[in-house]
Amino acid sequence: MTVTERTTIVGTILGLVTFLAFWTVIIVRAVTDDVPLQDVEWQGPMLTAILVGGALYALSYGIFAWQARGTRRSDERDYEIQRYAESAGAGVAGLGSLAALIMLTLDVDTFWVATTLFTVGYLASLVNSGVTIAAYRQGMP
Amino acid sequence: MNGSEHKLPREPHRPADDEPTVMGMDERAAWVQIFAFAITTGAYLAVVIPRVLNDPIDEVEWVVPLLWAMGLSIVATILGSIFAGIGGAIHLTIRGLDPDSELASDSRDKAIARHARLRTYWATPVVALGALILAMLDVDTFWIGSFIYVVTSIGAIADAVVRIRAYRRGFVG
Amino acid sequence: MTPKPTRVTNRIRALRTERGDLTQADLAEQLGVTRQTVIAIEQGKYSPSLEMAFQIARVFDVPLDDVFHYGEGDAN
Repeated sequence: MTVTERTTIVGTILGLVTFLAFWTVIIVRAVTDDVPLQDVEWQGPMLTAILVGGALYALSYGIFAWQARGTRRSDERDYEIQRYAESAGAGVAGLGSLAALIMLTLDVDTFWVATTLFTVGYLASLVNSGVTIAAYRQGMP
Repeated sequence: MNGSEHKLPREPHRPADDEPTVMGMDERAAWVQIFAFAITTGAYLAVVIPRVLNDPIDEVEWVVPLLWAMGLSIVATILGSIFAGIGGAIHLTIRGLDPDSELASDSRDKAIARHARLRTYWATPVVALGALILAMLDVDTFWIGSFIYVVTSIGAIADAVVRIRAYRRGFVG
Repeated sequence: MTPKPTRVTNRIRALRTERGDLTQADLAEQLGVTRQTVIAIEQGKYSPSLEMAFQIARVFDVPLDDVFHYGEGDAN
């Protein structure tokens, strides 16, 4: 299994954990403080989720890359698969941005705009991971 | 080189080697994309920037101009493609060539489209992440909405530019 | 920004003549592409996919490196 495949799997798990953690915090706050969901202080949890998730991901990449030290880390195939998977994820993320824009024109609370971007961003990372693994196992179109 | 048969219009004929042709449909579509996005985004900014300079931020009316700009860019793209197609067909008929075979899309067009997408998809995560950060900073929705719209347009224009360069200057795998 | 230079050259034009004046339009039809694409390939402005490269060789009934040549040059 290449470094990329390993970091993809770890990244998927990390993503799921941080994503669920974020929503758990938000929902718990809404329930315990007895406020509507959109009035919960969401910026802190979201920033933490992104930073901590990102840091852990970078750490896992560093560990796997160090384990594979000395071998050629990534070649043309890895690069192509990575770009292809990222563009697939970007397609999904684009829909999230469009939804966010529509919400902004409808004057929807920023909470929903941000959490939509956050959630669709997470889905995009899932698409990225899925396409990456599939490309390694079954080949790229 | 034979003499008189290069006057237009010409009879329908099978094209000779290196006989000049017109721009393909996909390249035309790329030009239409550039113009549609550049003009509508420019118009949006032209309407909205004076308002930003004159009014307090939370009173800037940006939603209506944005919706107009988005609607117009869709209409402009559709109409532009239709006219580009008609123009191409007329031009080819004058030259005695067959629009169906000269203007068709083939695997090269798909390869170029794919190449452009792979080169310009970075715009999308920039838009999403940037908008998220702006939302976290609690800036006025005008900034978030305009950021999404303008950077997305830049991405679309970049995509079209990459495609046109690939058609004109050459494109290797 | 110039496109990434390719070390692949081709003899498609010469082969077309050898094959009894197969025109670009004829070749394009056999390959299922537009005439513009054949022109672009001949001028070195488009690198066909591996599949198409084999299809071109098949049209002329010759091996792949009778059509395409991978030149010397600086190593990448």
